[in-house]
Order: sequence, then C-alpha cells, then structure tokens
Amino acid sequence: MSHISTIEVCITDLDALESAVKALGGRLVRGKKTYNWYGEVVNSRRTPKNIDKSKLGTCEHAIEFPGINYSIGVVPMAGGGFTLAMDSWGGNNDGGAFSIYHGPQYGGPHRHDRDWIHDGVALEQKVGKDCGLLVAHYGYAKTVKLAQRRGLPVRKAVLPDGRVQARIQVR
Amino acid sequence: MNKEIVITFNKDGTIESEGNGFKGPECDKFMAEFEKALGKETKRVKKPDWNQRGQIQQRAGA
Repeated sequence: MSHISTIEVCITDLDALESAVKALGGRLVRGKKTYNWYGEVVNSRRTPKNIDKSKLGTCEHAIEFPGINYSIGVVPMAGGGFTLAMDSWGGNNDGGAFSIYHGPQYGGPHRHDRDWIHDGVALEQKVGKDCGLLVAHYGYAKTVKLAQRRGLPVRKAVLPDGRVQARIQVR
Repeated sequence: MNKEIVITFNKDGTIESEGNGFKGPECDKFMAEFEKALGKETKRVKKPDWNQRGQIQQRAGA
C-alpha cells in the first residue's frame, strides 16, 4: 500500500459517459440542447451549483431513460468538462401530475400543463441522488478505458454494499 | 506481492483509489494517471509503507 486518495470526479469523456448511461439503461443524445424538468425555479427548490438559473433546461447533450419524462442535461463548464443537471421533483408522493405524456413538441414543460408528467423521483432512482450513481458508473467506464489503453488488465468487483471496484493489475 | 491499483466507486459519485503492493512512493506515478483522468484529488492519506524505501536507504547510509 502507499496512499489512499479521494477524488471528485470531473466528466470530460463523452464516450465513457455514454457507456455509463447505457449501463444504467438510458441513452446519451448527443447534440440535444434541452432537457426536461419542472420548467421553472420555485421557492427554495434546489438548483444545481455552477449553473446560471436562467440557463436551466439548456444543455450540450441530454440523457434520457425509457419511460421517464424528465431527463438530464450535460452542461459544459467554464473551466472545461461537463456537469450533470437534473430535476428530482415529482413522483408518487409529492402530488406530481400524472397523465399522458405529450412532450416538448406540444409546447414544452410547464407547471400548469396537466399533461406533463413530473417524474423526477423516477429519474433519481435510476441515476442516484445528484446523479451520484451515474457519476460512479462514469468513473468505472473511464477507468476501464484508460487501463485498456495501457494494456493493464482490470477485474471488476462488486462489494457487499453494492459499490463497484476496478482492480487494475500493474506489471 | 502483485502490484495493484484498487479504485472504488461510491454511490454518491466520489471515488477512492488505493495502491497495493507498491514500495514507497512508486505508486504515485501509476495512480496519478488514473486520478488525473478521473477528476480532482480532494484528499490523500499516505499509508505506513509509503516511506518504506526511504527508511531502508537511510539505514544503509548510516
């Protein structure tokens, strides 16, 4: 052993992000400039760090999951890389409006649109709180890609608590 | 002991990496590439054997 590092992940590799999204059952839609959310900031609801409130709902790429109306924005950061923006509002327990999905092509999301499904909770269940699970999968995909490029074998291990490990053999 | 880098991906999006089987700071160069590719290191804890090689050299020269 030598040292243990804690790392705050920066998303810089769209291919690795795409692998992570696929692993969770979703798809990365490259070039899609909007993502679905509640549509406006209400009172004390949390907003993502480092994102101008006026730009919420806009992105460089979007992440979608089958059967879930809300989606995730892949938003470029000023210093490089991307952050992930999502709205976790709306689900079975908070009075979200459940009806037929008509989608943005019918005028986009709006809080008063009864036909708009607010299902942020379902999205959060897929990707984890604050996209943590998705970020973890991104990290794994990025690690495997880098190890393979260097010709280093990687063994995947799943811990009892569900966390994933990459064990890289160094020659 | 085989040299191994173990990277654990937590569900909150944080990552922990650890070097096994390395002597002294040689693991730094192996781990740095992965750590740099993944993001920004926010915390580092050196394990007791991080200084192992340096101690041996000191004894030899004493």
